[in-house]
Amino acid sequence: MPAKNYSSTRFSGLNEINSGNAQNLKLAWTFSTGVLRGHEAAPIVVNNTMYIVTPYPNIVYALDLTQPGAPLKWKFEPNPASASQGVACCDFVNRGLVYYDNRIYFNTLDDQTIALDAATGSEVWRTKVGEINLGESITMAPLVVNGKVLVGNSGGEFGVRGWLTALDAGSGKVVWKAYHTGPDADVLIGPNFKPFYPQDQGKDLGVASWPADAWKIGGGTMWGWISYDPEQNLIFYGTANPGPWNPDQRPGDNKWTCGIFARNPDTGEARWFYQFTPHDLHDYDSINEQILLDLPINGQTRKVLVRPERNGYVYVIDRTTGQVLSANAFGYITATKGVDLNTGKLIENPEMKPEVGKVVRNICPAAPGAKDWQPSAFSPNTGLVYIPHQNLCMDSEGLEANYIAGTPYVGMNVRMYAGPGGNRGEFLAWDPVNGKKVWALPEKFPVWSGALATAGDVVFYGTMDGWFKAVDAHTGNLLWQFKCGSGIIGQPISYKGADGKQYIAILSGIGGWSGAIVAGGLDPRDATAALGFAAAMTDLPNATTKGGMLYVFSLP
Amino acid sequence: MSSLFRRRACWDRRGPRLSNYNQRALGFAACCEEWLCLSVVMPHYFGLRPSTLRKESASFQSERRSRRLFLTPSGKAQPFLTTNGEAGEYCLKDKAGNSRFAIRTLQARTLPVPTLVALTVIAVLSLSCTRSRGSSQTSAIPSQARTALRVCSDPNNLPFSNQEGRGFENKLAEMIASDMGLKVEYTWWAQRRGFFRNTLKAGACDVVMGVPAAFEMALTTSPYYRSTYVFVSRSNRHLAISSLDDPQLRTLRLGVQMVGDDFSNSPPAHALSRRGMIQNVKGYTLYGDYSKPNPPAEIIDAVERNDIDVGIAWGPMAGYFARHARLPLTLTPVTPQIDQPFLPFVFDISMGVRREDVALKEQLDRILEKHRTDIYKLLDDYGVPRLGGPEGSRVNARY
Repeated sequence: MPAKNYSSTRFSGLNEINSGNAQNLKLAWTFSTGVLRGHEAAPIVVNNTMYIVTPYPNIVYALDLTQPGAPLKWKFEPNPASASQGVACCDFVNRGLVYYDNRIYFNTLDDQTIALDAATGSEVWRTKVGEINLGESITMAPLVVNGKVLVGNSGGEFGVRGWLTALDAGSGKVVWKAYHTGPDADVLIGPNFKPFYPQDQGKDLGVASWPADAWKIGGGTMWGWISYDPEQNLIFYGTANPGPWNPDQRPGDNKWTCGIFARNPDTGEARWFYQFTPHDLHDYDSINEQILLDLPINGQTRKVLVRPERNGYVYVIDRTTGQVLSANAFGYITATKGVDLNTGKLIENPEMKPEVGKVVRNICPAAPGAKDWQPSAFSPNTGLVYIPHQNLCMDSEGLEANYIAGTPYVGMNVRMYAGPGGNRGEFLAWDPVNGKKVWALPEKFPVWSGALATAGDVVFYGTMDGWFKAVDAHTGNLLWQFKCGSGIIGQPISYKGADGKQYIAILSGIGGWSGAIVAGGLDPRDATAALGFAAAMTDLPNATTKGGMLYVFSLP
Repeated sequence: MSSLFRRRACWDRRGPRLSNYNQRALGFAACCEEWLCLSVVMPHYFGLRPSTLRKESASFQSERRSRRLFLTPSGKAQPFLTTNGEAGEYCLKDKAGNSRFAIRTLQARTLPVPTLVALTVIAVLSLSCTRSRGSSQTSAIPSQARTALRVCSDPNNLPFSNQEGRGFENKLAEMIASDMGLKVEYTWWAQRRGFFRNTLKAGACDVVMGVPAAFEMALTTSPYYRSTYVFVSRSNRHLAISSLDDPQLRTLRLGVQMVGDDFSNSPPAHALSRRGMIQNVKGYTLYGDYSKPNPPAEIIDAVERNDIDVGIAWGPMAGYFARHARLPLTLTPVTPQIDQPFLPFVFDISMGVRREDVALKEQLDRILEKHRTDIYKLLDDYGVPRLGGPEGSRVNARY
């Protein structure tokens, strides 16, 4: 699985490559995916075979690691509907496939979940789980737990209603489906639902916290990461922002958007929920990763999950109860003033509330948050969480005429720019016990790649201008770097090759929301393109070009 | 300065004219870097934004008042219609980047084509003073090399267009192409996010038949019609609602269309929530269900089905479907035309070409002017409520 393990640590126990020899890393082999869009996926290595899924058209490749140069073993083309490109909000990405019990599971942009025979690449089943005609698409990597393939939808800006569904891994049949808005019966909230805070307790809050029928097109999709705690038999995952309504049109907490669910993976039944950002004002989807750890908190070991959240705080939450133990800012924040640990409530800054026609400046973090989907890593050796993230603020000013489906309308004119320091990105080492930054590496562009930590105390990440970097896990010192052909927004992995050597692999290929200006060929003169993100990235086309390519490194 | 003001096209009170206002500033003594066209009824230029307003000088204020230019932030109704057809330009920024508070007015008139060409030359010559942004390159495809009018179009969105060519934008494309001695070729793509990127900007086609005149992602022609959002209700209800401030709206079941988050939504969606009307408002996504014909029309069906009492929708779509409804429906234009804070319900519609296709834009401008009467007739045939035009507005109350 892309997260390496159910706890989502992205920690490799391999230590052949260490902080003493990483400077000797050399390119071992490469592979071109033939796709030009943003490559966000992690390669997966099982039984000396590497599996890769590309952005739309979602081709799956299997590469034979026992042979020199890793020749192609098989290739599978699902042929998703081309119309699905029109419903993807932010480039046509795919965040990865998963291996489970001799099969490969992945999702297509046009809402299909597909199971392949891992050995041959032949299709075992495919299930259509969403409807592109209603604006649904799928970009997330599935997770398989107890023989259930867990899949969620994207498309909050199209007025879809968010859900997570479980398919039987053997047959592809839907076992359960939990919506993220609406009545308790739809959300799979029953007698065992025990949220920690009073604001999350009550009947049918997924209806009551919305005006009239607004929940029916209320957003709260799920396009990010799921973790699993086998001991409790609970999955944990977050929900995206409320949409397509503006905040003024949806007074209330808008449950169950922008929060985290704990659910039983077999039945879907909800155990607890916590809302990071009630009544979201700034597009702070809560779909980020959660790392399951047992940490010493105030003298006792607590079963926690650690979540660097889009709103700029690292939350440490008791994963048995949903209680917030700490929430400390890891990014620059003006939009809110902290989290009240007694009530669990986020403290809004009313001055930063955007309103139509009102100019609000210096809203930090900007809409992509202090951190978006790009997953962190945790090293048990150092006890640190390695967080790739961005440092962006935004102004909302004036209105702009726009046009869709034959109808003119006005949208707020949002512009993003670098936050304090002028660097748009940062790679950060965070001490989750003390809630403190340990070291940080400023990067020119948002760090939109995932992180990898290894037992050799080397941490890997990539930059949007194409540098793949190895840094010392303790100090952040740069040990080695390699310039890839295209910007990096993928997830690095480490694996042991058939020859017993340790390898590091990364997909390069610029794109995603942040890189859409290159992958989508956006016009830098359209300041509000990519929802204002393009304005902050006008120099990216000079720094990199598109093209999907796998790079694999090893010691000589 | 906001991109809203970058592209300028002015109107006189008789409606869209191919006039000198479309050209860059001519002969004004001050060396102005960036002009805001103040021309009267053009809703896209409604905004000196509030922040700018606060900074305006006393001399500008008095100038504005004496000339009865728009912008009365506390005023309620249609301040733009008081300007008596006077068009003006307001200097936003001089070459040194300083704000300048200077206004000049322009005489509204329609120019014969040769004059227009001459004026274009003058405009180019005066570029040292009035730099035009990103539109000075020559056309990517010279018009004489064209073999077809290549139109980017939605295959499933009447009354605008569909794959069978039954929309008014299809008919308009035929009209334009015929004048150019070309045939029409379509690139079909659902008009959702990414439409312009994947069609016009990707070079797959050369013109989008309808975009707001102030649209940033394209170079726009002179507007060829102006329409308005309308209240739609069943005629047998006799609701007679024409204002967003009508107290009846507070108790009726209302429908609006939703575009997306990030504060992008249809003007009525914003206007109703600002008035505290939330619980009685139902949202219909503008995208609809694309597997059905003409997905945005769902809101009109909802009025017919009595799911809602009043739908507030864009006039061209509402007018067409009201005309084809089983029950008589009543349409009334929404007032105020500009709701606070600067929220337009009236839009000018142009054609859009790539920024660099200046020659094509100018050719289209000339053809649009030549066929003005035919175009109005076409729009009328499709039930499009029009505001402005030589023979006055045409907004039928009943269909």
